[in-house]
Amino acid sequence: MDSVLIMVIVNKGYTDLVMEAALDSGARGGTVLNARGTGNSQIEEFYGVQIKPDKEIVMIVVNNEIKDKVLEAIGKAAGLNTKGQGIAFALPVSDTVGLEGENEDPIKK
Amino acid sequence: MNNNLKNQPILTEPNVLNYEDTYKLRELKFLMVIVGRYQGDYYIDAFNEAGVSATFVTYGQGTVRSDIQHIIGIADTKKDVVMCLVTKTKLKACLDICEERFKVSKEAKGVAFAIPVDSMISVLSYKFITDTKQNRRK
Repeated sequence: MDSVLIMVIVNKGYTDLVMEAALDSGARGGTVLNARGTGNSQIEEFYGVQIKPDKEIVMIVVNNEIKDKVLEAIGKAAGLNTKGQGIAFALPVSDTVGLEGENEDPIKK
Repeated sequence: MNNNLKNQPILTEPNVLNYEDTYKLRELKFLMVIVGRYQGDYYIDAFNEAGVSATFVTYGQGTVRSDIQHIIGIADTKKDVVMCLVTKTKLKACLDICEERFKVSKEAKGVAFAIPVDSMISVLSYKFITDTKQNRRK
Protein backbone atom coordinates (compact mmCIF):
# COMPACT_ATOMS: atom_id res chain seq x y z
CA MET A 1 0.00 0.00 0.00
CA ASP A 2 2.08 2.94 -1.23
CA SER A 3 -0.59 5.49 -2.12
CA VAL A 4 -3.14 7.42 -0.10
CA LEU A 5 -6.15 9.48 -1.11
CA ILE A 6 -6.18 12.87 0.55
CA MET A 7 -9.62 14.43 0.74
CA VAL A 8 -9.94 18.09 1.63
CA ILE A 9 -13.30 19.74 2.28
CA VAL A 10 -12.97 23.53 1.95
CA ASN A 11 -15.17 26.56 1.43
CA LYS A 12 -15.90 27.38 -2.19
CA GLY A 13 -13.12 29.34 -3.84
CA TYR A 14 -10.26 28.09 -1.64
CA THR A 15 -9.30 25.16 -3.87
CA ASP A 16 -6.41 27.10 -5.39
CA LEU A 17 -4.82 27.59 -1.95
CA VAL A 18 -5.12 23.86 -1.21
CA MET A 19 -3.72 22.80 -4.58
CA GLU A 20 -0.86 25.29 -4.37
CA ALA A 21 0.14 23.88 -0.97
CA ALA A 22 -0.20 20.29 -2.19
CA LEU A 23 1.73 20.84 -5.42
CA ASP A 24 4.56 22.58 -3.55
CA SER A 25 4.83 19.54 -1.23
CA GLY A 26 5.17 17.14 -4.14
CA ALA A 27 1.63 16.21 -5.24
CA ARG A 28 0.96 15.97 -8.96
CA GLY A 29 -2.66 17.05 -9.42
CA GLY A 30 -6.13 16.75 -8.02
CA THR A 31 -9.83 16.67 -8.81
CA VAL A 32 -12.44 19.02 -7.40
CA LEU A 33 -16.06 18.14 -6.67
CA ASN A 34 -18.79 20.59 -5.73
CA ALA A 35 -20.54 19.93 -2.44
CA ARG A 36 -22.92 21.42 0.10
CA GLY A 37 -22.04 21.46 3.78
CA THR A 38 -24.31 21.04 6.79
CA GLY A 39 -23.43 21.78 10.38
CA ASN A 40 -24.85 21.47 13.89
CA SER A 41 -26.17 24.97 14.62
CA GLN A 42 -25.68 24.59 18.42
CA ILE A 43 -22.04 23.61 18.05
CA GLU A 44 -21.55 26.39 15.49
CA GLU A 45 -22.84 28.96 18.02
CA PHE A 46 -20.68 27.56 20.82
CA TYR A 47 -17.43 27.77 18.86
CA GLY A 48 -18.40 30.98 17.06
CA VAL A 49 -17.78 29.47 13.64
CA GLN A 50 -20.23 30.02 10.85
CA ILE A 51 -20.43 27.19 8.35
CA LYS A 52 -20.91 28.39 4.80
CA PRO A 53 -22.90 25.78 2.89
CA ASP A 54 -21.02 26.08 -0.40
CA LYS A 55 -18.11 23.64 -0.29
CA GLU A 56 -15.60 22.06 -2.59
CA ILE A 57 -14.04 18.63 -2.10
CA VAL A 58 -10.49 18.24 -3.37
CA MET A 59 -9.22 14.69 -3.97
CA ILE A 60 -5.48 14.14 -4.34
CA VAL A 61 -3.75 10.76 -4.67
CA VAL A 62 -0.20 10.99 -3.29
CA ASN A 63 2.61 8.65 -2.34
CA ASN A 64 2.53 7.45 1.27
CA GLU A 65 5.96 8.97 1.92
CA ILE A 66 4.87 12.56 1.28
CA LYS A 67 1.42 12.16 2.87
CA ASP A 68 2.30 13.90 6.15
CA LYS A 69 4.07 16.73 4.38
CA VAL A 70 1.11 17.39 2.07
CA LEU A 71 -1.44 17.21 4.92
CA GLU A 72 0.59 19.62 7.02
CA ALA A 73 0.93 22.10 4.15
CA ILE A 74 -2.81 21.93 3.43
CA GLY A 75 -3.57 22.43 7.13
CA LYS A 76 -1.40 25.53 7.23
CA ALA A 77 -2.80 26.98 3.99
CA ALA A 78 -6.50 26.23 4.43
CA GLY A 79 -7.04 24.62 7.84
CA LEU A 80 -10.02 25.12 10.14
CA ASN A 81 -8.55 28.29 11.68
CA THR A 82 -8.13 29.96 8.29
CA LYS A 83 -10.78 31.42 5.98
CA GLY A 84 -10.81 28.23 3.94
CA GLN A 85 -12.14 26.28 6.97
CA GLY A 86 -10.73 23.11 5.51
CA ILE A 87 -10.92 19.59 6.90
CA ALA A 88 -8.34 17.22 5.46
CA PHE A 89 -7.94 13.47 5.92
CA ALA A 90 -6.21 10.59 4.19
CA LEU A 91 -7.73 7.25 3.16
CA PRO A 92 -5.70 4.15 2.33
CA VAL A 93 -5.65 3.18 -1.34
CA SER A 94 -5.14 -0.51 -2.09
CA ASP A 95 -4.88 -0.58 -5.89
CA THR A 96 -4.09 2.08 -8.49
CA VAL A 97 -4.14 2.24 -12.29
CA GLY A 98 -2.80 5.13 -14.36
CA LEU A 99 -0.37 6.54 -11.80
CA GLU A 100 2.74 4.81 -13.20
CA GLY A 101 4.65 8.05 -13.87
CA GLU A 102 3.92 9.39 -10.41
CA ASN A 103 7.54 9.60 -9.32
CA GLU A 104 8.86 11.14 -12.53
CA ASP A 105 8.99 14.86 -13.03
CA PRO A 106 7.12 15.75 -16.27
CA ILE A 107 9.13 18.95 -16.73
CA LYS A 108 12.43 17.04 -16.84
CA LYS A 109 11.17 14.58 -19.49
CA MET B 1 -23.60 13.59 24.44
CA ASN B 2 -25.83 11.76 26.93
CA ASN B 3 -23.74 9.17 28.74
CA ASN B 4 -26.61 6.69 29.10
CA LEU B 5 -27.20 6.70 25.37
CA LYS B 6 -23.53 6.09 24.70
CA ASN B 7 -23.35 2.96 26.83
CA GLN B 8 -26.44 1.36 25.34
CA PRO B 9 -25.72 -1.77 23.30
CA ILE B 10 -26.49 -1.56 19.60
CA LEU B 11 -28.62 -4.70 19.66
CA THR B 12 -31.67 -4.19 21.86
CA GLU B 13 -33.38 -7.51 21.10
CA PRO B 14 -31.93 -10.56 22.87
CA ASN B 15 -30.76 -13.67 20.95
CA VAL B 16 -30.36 -11.80 17.68
CA LEU B 17 -27.21 -12.65 15.80
CA ASN B 18 -25.52 -10.21 13.49
CA TYR B 19 -25.36 -11.19 9.82
CA GLU B 20 -21.56 -11.14 9.89
CA ASP B 21 -21.55 -13.61 12.83
CA THR B 22 -23.48 -16.29 10.94
CA TYR B 23 -22.64 -15.80 7.29
CA LYS B 24 -19.49 -15.47 5.30
CA LEU B 25 -18.75 -11.93 4.19
CA ARG B 26 -16.97 -10.85 1.04
CA GLU B 27 -14.59 -7.94 1.23
CA LEU B 28 -15.71 -4.80 -0.58
CA LYS B 29 -13.69 -2.08 -2.25
CA PHE B 30 -14.74 1.41 -3.25
CA LEU B 31 -13.50 1.94 -6.79
CA MET B 32 -13.04 5.47 -8.08
CA VAL B 33 -12.18 6.30 -11.68
CA ILE B 34 -11.36 9.88 -12.69
CA VAL B 35 -11.49 10.45 -16.45
CA GLY B 36 -12.22 13.25 -18.92
CA ARG B 37 -15.73 14.62 -19.29
CA TYR B 38 -18.15 12.37 -21.26
CA GLN B 39 -15.82 9.36 -20.81
CA GLY B 40 -17.73 8.12 -17.76
CA ASP B 41 -20.59 6.47 -19.64
CA TYR B 42 -18.28 3.79 -21.01
CA TYR B 43 -17.50 2.54 -17.49
CA ILE B 44 -21.17 2.18 -16.53
CA ASP B 45 -21.69 -0.38 -19.31
CA ALA B 46 -18.29 -2.04 -18.91
CA PHE B 47 -18.58 -2.45 -15.11
CA ASN B 48 -22.16 -3.67 -15.50
CA GLU B 49 -20.92 -6.42 -17.81
CA ALA B 50 -18.22 -7.31 -15.29
CA GLY B 51 -20.93 -7.88 -12.67
CA VAL B 52 -20.98 -4.62 -10.74
CA SER B 53 -24.47 -3.86 -9.42
CA ALA B 54 -24.41 -0.06 -9.30
CA THR B 55 -22.12 2.60 -10.75
CA PHE B 56 -22.41 6.34 -10.22
CA VAL B 57 -20.97 9.21 -12.23
CA THR B 58 -20.52 12.75 -10.96
CA TYR B 59 -18.84 15.80 -12.41
CA GLY B 60 -15.49 17.11 -11.26
CA GLN B 61 -12.88 19.66 -12.17
CA GLY B 62 -9.24 18.73 -12.64
CA THR B 63 -6.50 20.92 -11.21
CA VAL B 64 -3.17 20.72 -12.96
CA ARG B 65 -0.53 23.42 -12.68
CA SER B 66 -0.62 25.47 -15.88
CA ASP B 67 3.06 24.86 -16.78
CA ILE B 68 2.67 21.07 -16.53
CA GLN B 69 -0.67 21.31 -18.35
CA HIS B 70 1.05 23.03 -21.23
CA ILE B 71 3.69 20.29 -21.57
CA ILE B 72 1.29 17.35 -21.33
CA GLY B 73 -1.15 19.09 -23.65
CA ILE B 74 -4.38 18.80 -21.69
CA ALA B 75 -6.74 21.57 -22.68
CA ASP B 76 -9.95 20.46 -20.98
CA THR B 77 -9.83 20.09 -17.21
CA LYS B 78 -13.46 19.00 -16.84
CA LYS B 79 -13.69 15.49 -15.41
CA ASP B 80 -16.12 12.64 -14.89
CA VAL B 81 -15.77 10.87 -11.55
CA VAL B 82 -17.02 7.27 -11.65
CA MET B 83 -17.70 5.54 -8.32
CA CYS B 84 -18.77 2.00 -7.51
CA LEU B 85 -18.59 -0.68 -4.82
CA VAL B 86 -17.05 -3.95 -6.00
CA THR B 87 -16.13 -7.20 -4.32
CA LYS B 88 -12.43 -7.96 -4.04
CA THR B 89 -12.77 -10.83 -6.53
CA LYS B 90 -14.22 -8.55 -9.23
CA LEU B 91 -11.80 -5.68 -8.58
CA LYS B 92 -9.06 -7.13 -10.81
CA ALA B 93 -11.44 -7.34 -13.77
CA CYS B 94 -12.60 -3.75 -13.22
CA LEU B 95 -9.05 -2.42 -12.98
CA ASP B 96 -8.16 -4.31 -16.17
CA ILE B 97 -11.11 -2.62 -17.91
CA CYS B 98 -9.74 0.76 -16.79
CA GLU B 99 -6.20 -0.05 -17.86
CA GLU B 100 -7.35 -1.15 -21.34
CA ARG B 101 -9.52 1.93 -21.73
CA PHE B 102 -6.76 4.35 -20.66
CA LYS B 103 -4.61 3.06 -23.53
CA VAL B 104 -7.24 3.82 -26.20
CA SER B 105 -6.42 7.50 -26.71
CA LYS B 106 -5.10 10.64 -25.05
CA GLU B 107 -8.66 11.73 -24.25
CA ALA B 108 -9.45 8.43 -22.54
CA LYS B 109 -6.50 8.68 -20.13
CA GLY B 110 -7.35 8.73 -16.46
CA VAL B 111 -6.69 7.52 -12.96
CA ALA B 112 -8.33 4.64 -11.08
CA PHE B 113 -7.89 3.60 -7.47
CA ALA B 114 -9.58 1.40 -4.88
CA ILE B 115 -10.25 2.16 -1.22
CA PRO B 116 -11.01 -0.67 1.25
CA VAL B 117 -14.51 -0.49 2.76
CA ASP B 118 -14.68 -0.85 6.53
CA SER B 119 -18.37 -1.45 7.22
CA MET B 120 -21.80 -0.98 5.73
CA ILE B 121 -25.42 -0.88 6.82
CA SER B 122 -28.34 -3.10 5.72
CA VAL B 123 -28.01 -6.75 4.74
CA LEU B 124 -30.24 -6.13 1.73
CA SER B 125 -27.95 -3.48 0.28
CA TYR B 126 -24.92 -5.72 0.97
CA LYS B 127 -26.59 -8.55 -0.95
CA PHE B 128 -27.48 -6.18 -3.79
CA ILE B 129 -23.98 -4.75 -4.05
CA THR B 130 -22.22 -8.13 -3.86
CA ASP B 131 -24.90 -9.94 -5.93
CA THR B 132 -25.37 -12.60 -3.24
CA LYS B 133 -28.10 -15.01 -4.30
CA GLN B 134 -27.30 -17.73 -1.81
CA ASN B 135 -26.15 -17.09 1.74
CA ARG B 136 -23.14 -19.18 2.72
CA ARG B 137 -22.89 -20.12 6.37
CA LYS B 138 -19.60 -19.92 8.19
